[in-house]
Amino acid sequence: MESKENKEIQEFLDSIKSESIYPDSNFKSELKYKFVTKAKGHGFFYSLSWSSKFLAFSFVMLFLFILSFSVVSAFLLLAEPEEAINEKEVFSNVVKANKNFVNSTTNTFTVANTIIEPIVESQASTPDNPDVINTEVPEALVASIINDSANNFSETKIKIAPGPKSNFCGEGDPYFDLPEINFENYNYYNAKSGEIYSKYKNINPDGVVLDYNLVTPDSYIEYKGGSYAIKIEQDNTIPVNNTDTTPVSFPETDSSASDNAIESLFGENANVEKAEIFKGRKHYVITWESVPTCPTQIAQNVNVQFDEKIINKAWVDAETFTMSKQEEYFGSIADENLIRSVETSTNLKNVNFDEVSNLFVFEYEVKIINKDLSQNYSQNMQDTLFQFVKENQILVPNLTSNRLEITSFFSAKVTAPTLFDYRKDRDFYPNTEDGEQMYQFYISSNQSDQSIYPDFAMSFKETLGSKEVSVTAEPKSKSFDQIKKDFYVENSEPLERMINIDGISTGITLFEEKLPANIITEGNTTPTWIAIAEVDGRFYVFRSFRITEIAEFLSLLHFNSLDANLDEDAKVIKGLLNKALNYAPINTTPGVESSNQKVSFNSFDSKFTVSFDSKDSYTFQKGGSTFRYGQVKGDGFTLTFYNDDNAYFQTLNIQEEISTKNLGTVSRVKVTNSESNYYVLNSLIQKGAGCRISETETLNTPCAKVFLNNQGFNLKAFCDAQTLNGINQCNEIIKSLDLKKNQ
Amino acid sequence: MKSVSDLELIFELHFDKIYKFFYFKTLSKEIAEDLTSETFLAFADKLKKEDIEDEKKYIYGIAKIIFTKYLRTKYKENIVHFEDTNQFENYVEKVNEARSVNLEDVALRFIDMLPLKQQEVIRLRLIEKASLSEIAERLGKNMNYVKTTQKRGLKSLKKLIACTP
Repeated sequence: MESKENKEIQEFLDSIKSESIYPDSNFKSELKYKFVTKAKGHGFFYSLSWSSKFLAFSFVMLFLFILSFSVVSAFLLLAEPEEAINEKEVFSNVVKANKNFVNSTTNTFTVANTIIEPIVESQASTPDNPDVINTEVPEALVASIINDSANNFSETKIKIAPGPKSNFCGEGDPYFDLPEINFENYNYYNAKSGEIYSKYKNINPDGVVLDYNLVTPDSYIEYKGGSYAIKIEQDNTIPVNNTDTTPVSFPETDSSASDNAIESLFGENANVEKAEIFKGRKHYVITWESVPTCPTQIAQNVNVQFDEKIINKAWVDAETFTMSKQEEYFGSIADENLIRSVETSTNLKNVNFDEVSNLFVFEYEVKIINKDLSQNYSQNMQDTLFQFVKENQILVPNLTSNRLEITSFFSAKVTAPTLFDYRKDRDFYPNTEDGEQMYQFYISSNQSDQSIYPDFAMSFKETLGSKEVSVTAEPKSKSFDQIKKDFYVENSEPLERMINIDGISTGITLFEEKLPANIITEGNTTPTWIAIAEVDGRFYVFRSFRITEIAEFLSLLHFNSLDANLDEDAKVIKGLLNKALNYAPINTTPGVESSNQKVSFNSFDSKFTVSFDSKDSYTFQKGGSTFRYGQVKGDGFTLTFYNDDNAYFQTLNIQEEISTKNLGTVSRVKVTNSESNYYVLNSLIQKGAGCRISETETLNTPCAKVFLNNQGFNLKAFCDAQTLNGINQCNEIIKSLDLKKNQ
Repeated sequence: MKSVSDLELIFELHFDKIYKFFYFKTLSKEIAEDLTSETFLAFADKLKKEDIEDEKKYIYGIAKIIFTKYLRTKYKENIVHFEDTNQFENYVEKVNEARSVNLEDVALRFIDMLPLKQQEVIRLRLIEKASLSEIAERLGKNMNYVKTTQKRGLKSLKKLIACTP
């Protein structure tokens, strides 16, 4: 007989066979049917227009539905609900009852995952990005209430208390070894106006506020128990009837919870132990096992495997199937093994705002400092970077090829003033030992070992293609051998070549990157060339992306080294910085008809002009340069330009004779074929200095991927040294770098 | 309101990419079907209520949420970080492109990222096709060790395949 272990291996091998990737045709047909009927709001008329196969299918489905309804009805009539516990049904109901809350802090079920996380994150750092406040905070907090058509107000109270085994991961683990926390969350959502009121606070047992956020339609207040709170005025209204925004939530499907969904929530060996009265209501007691993982150890790249499992015990309300209490034990259920307990109470209701308005008023008697969102932080960063290269006398290489344009300029060694600088202020935290810890935690989690970073990193991209060159200015203290090691060219044969630097033919050393075996590269086999040039006693490292031939790479490397202390060069550097920090790429999303055409948009300044050569091709003009894009096949295209508010403000028909037209600030462009709405090219211009995302890369570790796409590549040396367990850590670093860049 | 043929077109356009992406990440037909269904039916519900112009962005927005939720609930991980729908769509594209060619090769390359003990056993099992008893003999370990390590290794491997961006 085939053993369980052999079966598992065989199943895995089968699952990675190429033929396994194709979807089952019946599944596809069935889903297509469900999709269309559901979208149309009815099934009958649709089924009439389909082939008889689907008509038959409809009858079969109807028959099965009637059959199952009869069976369930019979079961309900005959069963003794008080005595028999249908385990599967309980699990299924719990999954369904908690589905809406998975990503929400009001989650009463996945407490360990969703309640602790925001607390840990809020203690570590809050994203230094106004956009995040504008969207993620309200989304995360009110997603459940927005999805709830019956109620408009939620109140959740959660108490998380550590047990004797809370430090099984080691002292100070941010996930388990937490002090007692009392969490309160209130949300009110007005579906008509889109207005959101949301408040959450974490309080320690002494009543000291550790974290507090209040979101109202026009402001965001942040308070961490210190001598003042911060208020940022902004619009926190979720657009109503705005079909173009990414959904903040989505409706639930009708399907019952699958085994997979149950396993996802409960892990292994889940059992409904019994039913009992808890806090005056009937509850099911559920237990299940999970594997212990320790975030701190993972972040430190320590591979710890425990022999013991975590045993979870939960009390689930027999009527609402929400969780009232959860306990986690290390190894077995015994008082001395308790890791933590989580008690939850949730109250959902439909109210008039007046009844709850007092909950959404800032209730602490501390001064409130208003922060101005309109300040130009991109300009701050630009000035700071300029001062950095000037004061440290670092030459800035400006690649002179007219095929390239600068897309990023970044230095991990530079911090510009930001909207969120108050978080670096000790007075923002309580004047207690806890407050000192919170402050130190924030400061240390936002510091990094700068010795691993280059002085700065720049990226240049083809204006009419996808090839790229990145450049780093290495610290003067870094040796040639160290650079070779960091860039994985130690085992590569050096090639001596000449390029033009400041008009003089100068020698550089060229290598092909040889990545270590533990770095996964997906899909891209283009070699990566590394060129090292020494200018003014400092090494500059150039790296190629998607460039196959050495000769082509070399042809792009000619550059002028600019000195910020010289007036003429200073002007050029400022121009480069301005361009890099405001670089906003467009990702094209070809529509139906154009899926076989690659229409690429490149970066635009906030002001640009567009002109059309003919009805089949069009040209964008930016500054003094002209870039031509085309050929778009078809007749009568319409280009619609949207501003930041997603409201279209200008529509041009290509058939019209338009030479140039100033279109103001554009955040999205849509090209529509007149014959059908589906025949579109749809583009999103990402605004701001922002992270240039994706599309690229030879790809190495995930960390390297993100970093390479955003700023440069030197962090790769750091991230690659990690195994998979380093990914979280890398992501954290990258996150903080991204945030710095976004300031 | 979109016509039936419009809806069919939308479905045909996006189904394969989204299903395959979920399959590549989960290596399970059942889960890929669940996630794909969840995506399309949630989208259908939205379409029923309002006329969505930018359906591609919306459908990938839903898929992004569903995939992130899956990773979070299945693996307690939030590894994949997407700033917006476009980024996720590119990611789907990239995963499909890379893994469609030779899924087996790509999947087996993740073995290198396993902890050493698991790597040893999984490599022998999956690549050298050694039996459990052969592995026990070669490693000088008992059968229980090999079975447990294989179980953990396979689990880690699936997690890596799902969570590695």
